[in-house]
Amino acid sequence: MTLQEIIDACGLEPVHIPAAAVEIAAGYTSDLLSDVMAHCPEGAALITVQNHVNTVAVCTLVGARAIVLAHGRAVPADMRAAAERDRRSWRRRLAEELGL
Amino acid sequence: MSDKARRSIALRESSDAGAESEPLVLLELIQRLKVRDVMTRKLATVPRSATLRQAQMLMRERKISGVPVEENGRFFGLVSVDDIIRALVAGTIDDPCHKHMTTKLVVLEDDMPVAFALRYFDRYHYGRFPVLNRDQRLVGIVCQRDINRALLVELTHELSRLENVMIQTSDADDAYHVYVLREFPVVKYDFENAGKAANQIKKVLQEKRFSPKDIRRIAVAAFELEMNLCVHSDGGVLSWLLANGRAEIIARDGGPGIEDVAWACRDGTSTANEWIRSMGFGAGMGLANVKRVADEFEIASKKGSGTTVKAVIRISAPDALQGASQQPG
Repeated sequence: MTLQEIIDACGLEPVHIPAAAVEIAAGYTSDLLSDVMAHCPEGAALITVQNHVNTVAVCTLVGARAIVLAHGRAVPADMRAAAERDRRSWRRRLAEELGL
Repeated sequence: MSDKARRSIALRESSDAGAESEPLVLLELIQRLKVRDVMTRKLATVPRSATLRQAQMLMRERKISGVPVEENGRFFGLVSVDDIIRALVAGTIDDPCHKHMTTKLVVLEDDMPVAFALRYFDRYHYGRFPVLNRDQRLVGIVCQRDINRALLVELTHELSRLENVMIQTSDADDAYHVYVLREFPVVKYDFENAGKAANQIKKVLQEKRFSPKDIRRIAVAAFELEMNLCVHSDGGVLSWLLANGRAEIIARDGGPGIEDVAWACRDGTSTANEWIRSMGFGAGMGLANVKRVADEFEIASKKGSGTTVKAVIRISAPDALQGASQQPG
């Protein structure tokens, strides 16, 4: 299922979506970041209330592709900035893989 | 947007400008400096029985916009300009403070990093925050001017120090026998940067095309140890050595040390306080996670001195050597 399909099906409010067509392999929900570190599958969308930069760091580490913030929690500016940074480094890696 | 918010965002933008390696001076400063280093300690306070009029006179005398209500270090509330105006309108200016003071307050703790305080100014738009110590005693008050003043002083020191420092990095690279040694300083309660060391380690491993499974194990160990330094230690160094198919991650700190190491390693045990838990840390899974992913695990700690944790993960040869291709992670 793509991220866009999930957004549509669940009525999620898009905040920062660099690639809506990305395939989401699984869902994982937890508010304990060590638990996310240990068990969140790669390619998953993480559902959590943890609206801060460390959530982005953890998701980058485990290869989670999306963060869904529950209970209408707001996205702080620094969290958004972290997500944008990680996207940049992801694109750069992809470009290197393709020899561009 | 308020001036305060603009200022702290400007801080952030300037720290983002350098992309990958970020200009660490300012970032480090706002992490290293604690609220207690910048706060005003000489407080003008009133007891609960003082009238609002007395509080108002004190505020005018001292040219301050809020006065804490305190008795022998115990903090009861704050009388702000708003409270005074309301009392003037309602004709209650001669009532005792405790009847009309603001009691629902956001406070800072004195050992929080200044970065945390800046985020609070951003989030709550208050002019000042009372500062409590671990025993919940009122020890100071901090406004944004206090922070700016301290930062300017520290930046001047830091700049002259940096002029004398040269940073060298070199990696010898030989496929499977790659040799990488990196050290990352980790600052207590620096949540903004926590996780960056683990991410950098992951990036290097990806560049060298190790298997995603190995990368994840190393990333888990590095992240958990990095977070432990950030949450539990007074600050320390995360070092990472990659050589001959072994990744060695060592977290060293200078205190405060662990009283019962076996207890600390057990799943679900933690000494973390509430605000750390509210961020999703301190669930007591960290060391257990490291043990789970590591082939070798050692911990040595002494109460009052410090802790060293070492995790070794044996890794298979990178995909490049096996002739396989790897998806970007």
